Amino acid sequence: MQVGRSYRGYSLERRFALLHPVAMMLFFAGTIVISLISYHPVILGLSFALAAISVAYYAGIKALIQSLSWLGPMLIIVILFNTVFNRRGATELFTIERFQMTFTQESLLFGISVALMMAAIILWFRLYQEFMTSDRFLYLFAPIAPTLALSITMIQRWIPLTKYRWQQIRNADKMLSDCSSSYPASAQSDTVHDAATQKSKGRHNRVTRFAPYKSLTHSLSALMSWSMEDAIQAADSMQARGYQANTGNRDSVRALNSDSDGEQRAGTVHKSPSKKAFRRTSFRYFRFISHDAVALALIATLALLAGLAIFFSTRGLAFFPIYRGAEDLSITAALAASLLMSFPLLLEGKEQLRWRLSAQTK
Amino acid sequence: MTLLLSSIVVGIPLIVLALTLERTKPRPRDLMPVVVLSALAIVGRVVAMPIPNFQPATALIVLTGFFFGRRAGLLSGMFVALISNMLMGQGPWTPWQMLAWSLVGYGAGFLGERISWGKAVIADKHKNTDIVKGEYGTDISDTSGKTDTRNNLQTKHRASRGITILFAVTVIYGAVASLIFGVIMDTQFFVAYAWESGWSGLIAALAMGLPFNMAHAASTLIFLALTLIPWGKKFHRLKTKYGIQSM
Amino acid sequence: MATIRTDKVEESPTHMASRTQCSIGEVHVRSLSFSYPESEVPTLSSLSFQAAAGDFILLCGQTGSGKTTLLRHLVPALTPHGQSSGQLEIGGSVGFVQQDPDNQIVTDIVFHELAFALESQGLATQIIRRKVAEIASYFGLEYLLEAKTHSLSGGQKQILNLAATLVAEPDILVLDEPTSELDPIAAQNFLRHLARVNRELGTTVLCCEHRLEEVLEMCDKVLLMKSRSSSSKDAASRAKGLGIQSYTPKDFVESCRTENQNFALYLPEPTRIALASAEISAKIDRYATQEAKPETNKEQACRDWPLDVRSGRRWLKSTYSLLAQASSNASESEATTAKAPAVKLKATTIPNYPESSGRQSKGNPSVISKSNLSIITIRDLCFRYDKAEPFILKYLNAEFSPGQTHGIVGGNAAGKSTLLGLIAGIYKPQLGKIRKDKNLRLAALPQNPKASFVCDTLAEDFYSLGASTSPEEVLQIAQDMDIVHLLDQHPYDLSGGEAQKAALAKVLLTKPDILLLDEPTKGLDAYAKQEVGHIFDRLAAQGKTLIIVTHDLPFAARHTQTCSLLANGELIAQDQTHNFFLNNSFYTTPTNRMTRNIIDGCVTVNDALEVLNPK
Repeated sequence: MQVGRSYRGYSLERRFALLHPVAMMLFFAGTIVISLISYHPVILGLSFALAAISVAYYAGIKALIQSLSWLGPMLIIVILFNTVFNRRGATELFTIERFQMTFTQESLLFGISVALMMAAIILWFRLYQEFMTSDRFLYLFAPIAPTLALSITMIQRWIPLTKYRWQQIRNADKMLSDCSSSYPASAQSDTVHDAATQKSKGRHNRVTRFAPYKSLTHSLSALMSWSMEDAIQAADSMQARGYQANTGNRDSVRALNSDSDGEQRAGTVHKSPSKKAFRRTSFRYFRFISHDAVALALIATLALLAGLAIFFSTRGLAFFPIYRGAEDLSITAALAASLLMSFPLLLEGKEQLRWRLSAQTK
Repeated sequence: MTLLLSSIVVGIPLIVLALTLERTKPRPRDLMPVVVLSALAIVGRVVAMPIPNFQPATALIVLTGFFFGRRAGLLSGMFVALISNMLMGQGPWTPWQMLAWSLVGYGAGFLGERISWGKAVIADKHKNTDIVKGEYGTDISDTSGKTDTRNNLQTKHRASRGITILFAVTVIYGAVASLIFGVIMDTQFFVAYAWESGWSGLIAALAMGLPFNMAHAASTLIFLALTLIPWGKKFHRLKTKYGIQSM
Repeated sequence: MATIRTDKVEESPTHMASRTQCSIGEVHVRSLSFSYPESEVPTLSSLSFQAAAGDFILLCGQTGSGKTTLLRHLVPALTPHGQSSGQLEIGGSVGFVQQDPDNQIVTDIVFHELAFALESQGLATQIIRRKVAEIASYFGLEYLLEAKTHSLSGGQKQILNLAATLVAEPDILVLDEPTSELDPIAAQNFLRHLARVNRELGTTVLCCEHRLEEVLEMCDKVLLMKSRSSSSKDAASRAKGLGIQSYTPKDFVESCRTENQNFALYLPEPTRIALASAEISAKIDRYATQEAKPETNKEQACRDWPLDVRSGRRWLKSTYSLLAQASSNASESEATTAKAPAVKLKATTIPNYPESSGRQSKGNPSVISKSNLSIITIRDLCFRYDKAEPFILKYLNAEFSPGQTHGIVGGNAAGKSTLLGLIAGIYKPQLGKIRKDKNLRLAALPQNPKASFVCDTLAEDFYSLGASTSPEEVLQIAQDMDIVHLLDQHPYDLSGGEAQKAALAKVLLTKPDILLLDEPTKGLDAYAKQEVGHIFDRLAAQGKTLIIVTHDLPFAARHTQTCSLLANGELIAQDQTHNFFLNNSFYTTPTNRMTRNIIDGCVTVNDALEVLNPK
């Protein structure tokens, strides 16, 4: 899994990336909820296939293989787990007499269905990760909880800073410990090897054996202290830029506000020229345009249709004691679900088509 | 279906929690420890990813809650789960992890408030170390430091007993909290993917997760044991120097 | 870094300075006094000054004179907690930019950072969008709008901080040593942006700054904060010593000659040369009177102190013409032949180097020629951090001889720190070889001293190095570095210079033979720099080899024996420091640029003074 993903990845150049975060979020929510509603094999298979194709298309075949490679063992665990511990099925596959364990066809089928669902969901989340970058997530989240959203932004700022500082501290420590540990050895090299020096050497060896761990904890402490100390400056910088000043009047960056006693503590006599308190807004990167409205409406309709159709047509589906009801799925449900789940791909297709056409007219 | 329902069941308290925390409006200064320690925990979790479940995140959340208050613990738990999963991969487990870790942080904060005397002891030791350093290089400080070493020894003895208790309680809390975190996550696995197998399945899921949870508890234990006292001293200094308040 | 105690929680009500509004852009401070809660000595004592709207004011003062405390009083949200009295009249809103570029950035994307202050004001998205776009265009940050803040360079970060502050349209801008963490070129760039803001927007600027080279010529007023003299013991007389004085830039230079001599070191090199050779004026006086030279000319030559290289060259030329006349007068009169100026006057076309050959002996040329003596030899070194990245170092060759101080200069991101890391063995070269003597012990000083402290007190930190450090050694080195009084302090409570010395002491405790130093003068003021420089000289005299990577050309010119330029992945022109700077025309010290083609062979201020002011 790639940790240090660049801010503008390849997939963010695609048409789907231009979609407004609300529409995008609804797409992911709808797709994932529909994959969860029932264990119908057709829906699960569809979901898994389209998720895999989408991941491969947007994030690349490599990303898909990578996801599947760690997904594989998990799926096997899920299948085995359900087969081994579920005894509610009626059709016996085989029995191990010694442990009195009966394996049934139904539990195996159930295990496979659940595993398929898990795989589909995880792949959809992989695609989610590709498109719902933190700025999109925060865009959706900030109006609800601006302080928490800001905290998340700050943590995201601090993560690379922490890594950088860790590197600096480790490098400094490496240089120092290399130097200080090599010293006694070289100092003793030309002395006579009597018992005393041997003993001290042994002690020295023990010291150096634990030294790496000790220096590691020292470095961790240093990292924490350094980060904390510098974070105070960030807090100051926030306040200097009017954070929590709770007023929109630019003539007073800070005015006393009755409900924030923290500000009063700073304790300066200050005439508040404006009693009107403003709520902190959050800047919104994304604009909602007519295209987004159309996409949103389309996604919402498809999701609702697919959800209801699947829910009502697959009510007869049951695994235990005997697997039945797999043939009940309505055409509407399958169609709506597949249309919804291939929405990004269809969007790309449309874009490609338009390119081709415009190229021909030239 | 169970996955959907369980996500809703977990999601609602999370949303309520987030909205409640949103209304507290901490000062930037008081929020900074949460930001710094969460970032540290996230980096730690991501870096330690190759070793399954052996990671310092839980210990850092415990430290945050213990020294900076219940709300700090809650926030830190939520943030660590949410943001580290942004890097490592989101999934249906995210809301569960958020809830589980914020509970761990909240518990640590609760513990920290109950045994606030313990933090006072750490603070005391913070002062004592100055005297200890005076002994270290007697030629650096004045020689009168030697006369009241007996006095120091007594206070040090008392302080060390307090510290032992505090140390044990907190470190054990960390280990138990890691186990509980593991149990919650195993339950999530069971509810989402194997709920049809009944109680035996749940027990099996917990048993299967035990080695991983033990590793998790051990990592928390080791990390807390190494950092609790020295970091407590450092936190105390930062709190007094910059006037950081518990949340 | 100054210890700032703000917002102490459990504090009894204290006396406060009254704070009122005045007309936009003005600052009036009347007899402001302030002391921190637990200190018996006031940090600020009855300071008064004022700034008119649109003033660019430079605040000067030595470390510990309370500059930061004063500046923080001007920012309402950051007023430190303690006892204060007096009157503060501040007209309009105040923006504040701090020292460290990294620590002020709060969010992860440039766009969001610029919007931060506007969000706090509760503005609508449409307005924020417009203002952010506007400010980004003004500072040329448009192409960075979607970049991660972490990916910016230090200079870009600080300009972002300035822009993020200005976006809220403050009437007064307060800056606390904004360029001390930047390399000289980024610092220059930043200060130009600052001057532009002051000129084009009319924002009042109050800036505390060590780098007077750039600021002195752009400011309207210099405020000098006198620190308490450590000699006077009782608090009353100490408080008396405190105060603030206001000068025009030229007056300030003049005052550095007389009452404020300890600030002369802060001045730009051309100014320092002109000031220090002030007695030339006396000579000229003597000779000129014989010729009955017009008084005004002499006045101009002496009083109109040059503030930059351009005016420095003018000053030098006019001084020279006067000197030349004086010397010709003198030779005519024959009475003062012995006193003829020992200045080598350069004929306008024919170059002559009578001085330079003598000066070269300073850097012992025999050492560099004997390459077989080098203790670190680098052959065809190639390095890059990642397979996808271009090579940072390409077939780099270098030799470092023992017992000398080597300087490596070069632009930003040229790979200087990487080269040090390679020599130190932190990174492994992908191609080529670094040959070093195995018996020699290497130690490196990290760029940020904070990276080298791990414990709660300095003493603990020194002992944490291992069992091999004895108290005697610690004491010895602490005495050498003059940090004995700091041993019980927390490393992060030290000032920039103190922290640098402490970090150096820690490195020296490992008894290295070769010291690798990464930007050792970063964030230091002129005095701390001088002190660190003297320590380096002393270490070199003890036979240690030092490799210093630096942006600070005057420092390199003074304290290194060989110097080389790292550019385009290779070390270019490894040469004796003196020759290195003499042969450069752009990348050289201000003194050299000032004296070029007028006096030859001057690289440092001392070189110039030796010529101008012979003993």
